[in-house]
Order: sequence, then C-alpha cells, then structure tokens
Amino acid sequence: MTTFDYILLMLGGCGVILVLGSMGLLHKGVIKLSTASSKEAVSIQFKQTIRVTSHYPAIALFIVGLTGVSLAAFMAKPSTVRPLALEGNIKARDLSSVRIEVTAGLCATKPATDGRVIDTISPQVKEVLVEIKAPGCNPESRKFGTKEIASGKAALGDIVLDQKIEMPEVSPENIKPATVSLPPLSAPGGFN
Amino acid sequence: MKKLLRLAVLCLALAGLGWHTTSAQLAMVEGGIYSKANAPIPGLTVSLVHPVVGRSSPCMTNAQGWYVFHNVPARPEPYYFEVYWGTRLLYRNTYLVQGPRVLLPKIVL
Repeated sequence: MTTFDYILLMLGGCGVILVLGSMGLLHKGVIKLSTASSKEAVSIQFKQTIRVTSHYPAIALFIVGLTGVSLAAFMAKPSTVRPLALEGNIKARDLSSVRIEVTAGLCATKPATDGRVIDTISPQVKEVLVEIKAPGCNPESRKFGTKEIASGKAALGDIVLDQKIEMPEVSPENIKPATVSLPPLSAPGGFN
Repeated sequence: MKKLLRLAVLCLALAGLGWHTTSAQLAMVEGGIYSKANAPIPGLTVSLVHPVVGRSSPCMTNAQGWYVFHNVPARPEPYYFEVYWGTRLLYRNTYLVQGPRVLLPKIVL
C-alpha cells in the first residue's frame, strides 16, 4: 500500500465517522433538525467555487462525510485498460516454437541540454508492437497506433515465417554440464 | 551521548546507502549467435541463469542473430548462458557478468 492508499483509507474512514456521528448525534438529540435557525448556519466553501450552506448542522456533517466516502471510492477506482484483441494467421514449419511478443510504447521524451532527464509521463498506450518470432526464421512485426488501440482490435493478417536457417546439430561439447540445479526454461523470468 | 547517537545514525545511513548502490549494479549483456556458415541465426531463445538470482526473462535473437539483456544484476559468481532452439538446448556455458556492459564472445553453432 502506498501513502496515497493510506490517505484514501483515512478519507473514507473520516467520512464514515462523520456520517455515523451525525446520525448518532441526531438520534441522541444533541442536535435537532427542528431547532435550526436562519442565524446559525454551517457553511463549507471549496476554493471559492463550491459553497454549501445549511441551517441544519447534522445534514452538513452528513453531506461532508458522504462526500469524503464518495471521493475516496471514486479515487480508489482502478483505471480501466481496454483490452486489445489480436487476430491473424501464422504459417510456420513448427508452430509450437513460434513466440509472439507484444510491447507497448507509451511515449518518447528528450533529456535537457545538460543531460538531465526530468519529465512526467502519462502511462497511456499510444503504440503496440507485435513481433512474431520462430527459431531460424526472420522475425515479422506489426505496429498498431492509437486508432486500432481505441477500436480494441488489431488485425495481424496472414504471416508467413520462412525457414532461413535449419536447426544446428546438437553437439554435447557445446553444452557445459550444470553443477547446480537450474530452474527450467519455463520458470518465470526474474530479470532481463 | 547525543553526538554518539548522531554518529551512529549517520554511519548506519551511509552503510545503507553503500549497500543500496552495490546491490543496484545492473549490467547490459549482449552478443551474437551464428551458424557454421557464418550466417546469423534469428529466433533462438537465449537465457541467463544464476543459482542465486534465478533465470532471466527469455530473449530471442533478432534477424542479425543478436541478443541483448538490459538489466542483469552483476554477481561475483558466473552466470549460465543457455541457447535454445524452441525448447531444445543447443548451447550452455558460464560467463562472468561484471561491469556496466558485457559483450559475450561470438557463438558458432
């Protein structure tokens, strides 16, 4: 959890306390809706643009609490990333060894004149590169821009991978025995 | 007493900084793989394996038979460097990864 998450949690918690507290005060009779006067009003102002004035303190507390809860819920909502459907047909001698790598391009930036990099990027996918690779074949690639990303569909078309090099003979002298137990090739990559 | 405490905190902070800088050393490892006819072999799966760090994300050779690993943690012990044709192991050797850029020798299969 980040500091922002903790702040959101505190905001939501304060909102719940305010809502429940105002209801509790009303229930106990500490504050009453009937005793409201035009002189004693609770006013909340935000940046001189939004101003809420109420002659009923309980309602004002309730609204502030509800706003806190709603704001926390709204800000904690995960950003929706639209999926991109890839469609195409690949022809290769050994389809089991074909690997499709997809990389997303976010944006490009430049360093300052003194070499420092100070930039803020918005992580929005602007370009998707699909590379189709197979052993002994030259890789094929397709690039998709914002138009295809927005449509949610990327048509790869027909891709033919020509066998350029045949598989070399497996020579035992090329394979040094491992003295320790090594994770299999299918093991998740820890670095790159 | 306060001076001693401050000195201890400063020493701990410096030690932590030193540990952080040594543990964050990453290297770029690259090289080329060719056939006996000296033609580059594209599409080979290349991987670095270390008993402590684990296995790298697989990398594939490009049309020029070239591969690049960008963030390999520098270690005093050697890495196992493996080359696969699909899932078939063709080559394995050990190489040391130290310094910011490591160029592995040309591999002929």
